[in-house]
Amino acid sequence: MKTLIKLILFIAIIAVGGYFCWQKGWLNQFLGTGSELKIDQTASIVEEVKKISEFTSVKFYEELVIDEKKASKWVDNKAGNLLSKLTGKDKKEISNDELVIIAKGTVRAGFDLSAITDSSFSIHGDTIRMVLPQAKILDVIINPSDFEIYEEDGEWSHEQVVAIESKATKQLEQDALEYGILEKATTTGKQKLTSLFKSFGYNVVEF
Amino acid sequence: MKKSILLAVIGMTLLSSCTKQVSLKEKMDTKAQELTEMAELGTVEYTITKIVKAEDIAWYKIGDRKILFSCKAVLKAGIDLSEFSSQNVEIDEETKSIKVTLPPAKLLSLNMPPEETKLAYQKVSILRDDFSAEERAKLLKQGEEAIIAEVPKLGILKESEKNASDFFKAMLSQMGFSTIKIEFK
Repeated sequence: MKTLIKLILFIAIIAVGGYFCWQKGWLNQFLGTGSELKIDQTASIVEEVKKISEFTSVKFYEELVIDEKKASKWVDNKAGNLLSKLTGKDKKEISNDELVIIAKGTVRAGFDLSAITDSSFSIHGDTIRMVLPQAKILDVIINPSDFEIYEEDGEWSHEQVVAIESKATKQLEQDALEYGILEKATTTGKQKLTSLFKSFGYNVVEF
Repeated sequence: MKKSILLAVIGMTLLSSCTKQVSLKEKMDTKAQELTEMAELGTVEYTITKIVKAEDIAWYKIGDRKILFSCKAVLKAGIDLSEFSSQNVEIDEETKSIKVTLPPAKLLSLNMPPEETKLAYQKVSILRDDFSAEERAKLLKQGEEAIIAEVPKLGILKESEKNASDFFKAMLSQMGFSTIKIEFK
């Protein structure tokens, strides 16, 4: 009887100790299971170098949530079709495969000044007049660090995730346009360029 | 007594799951948007490719996993003119000469579009799970960080200052200045 109590006590101590180590993260540290998978070092190869003259006058920031559902491979077949007919539910609902992504994107807008020539400027005394091109979106950016996988149920291939992320990028650009980014880029751009030209000695700046 | 405790636990579980759903729903409906004014002159664009690869091998795991992505990123560097003022300009009206002191070039943007990130190779042993979307995302995030860390070695900032100098010289020449000197802080 005494031996049994000792054994139970021993197991209990091991279990409590193990739980404590797991809670503290020491167990994961020892086994290496909690550590994040690291990439190998590789060089970045410069493919193209391009001279640009882009004047960015505004930056639009947005946080988006994209919720995507799909039929899992277990129901995406004849049996799934039958089950869908019998239950009256969509295959996506039956399989419950869901991916929720939070995306934090940036849209940069301004003027492409690369087409500026002598004829773009006309100067009369302390007045300068500049012909500005139309403001445009220069960059739509959602990088890997800007995506957060909030919920992941089922198997999602790289291509499927890329399709969702591309959808987020398109949505971001659309939202920026609806927000009036181009109008704001034009107004702000003119103000900033006016300030720049005034520092070059011109008192009146016209566009 | 037991029944009421059980009901309380079920109630709390349901409540916590509802809270999570509501907060996500709220986030989906209310978009957090912000517009910031700026004055940045981008003068150079580098398109770079990078292989992002990882191996998941350990003595206590049966079988291994390997993954390899081919990524493309566009880097833009230039001059932030938000702090630029007349104090950075010296003009001699008589000789039509101008000296402009610009802030140093910096990385303005990094764009790593999702559609330019290709999964080139993946090998997963039969006893291991496939790479999840979250694991792949974490690896690509490390790839992005590695590209940013390599910026000083790429020579993009030096190239950017050279182009900025050319841009201001051309523009100031069009404005009628005959002697133009561009310096960087």
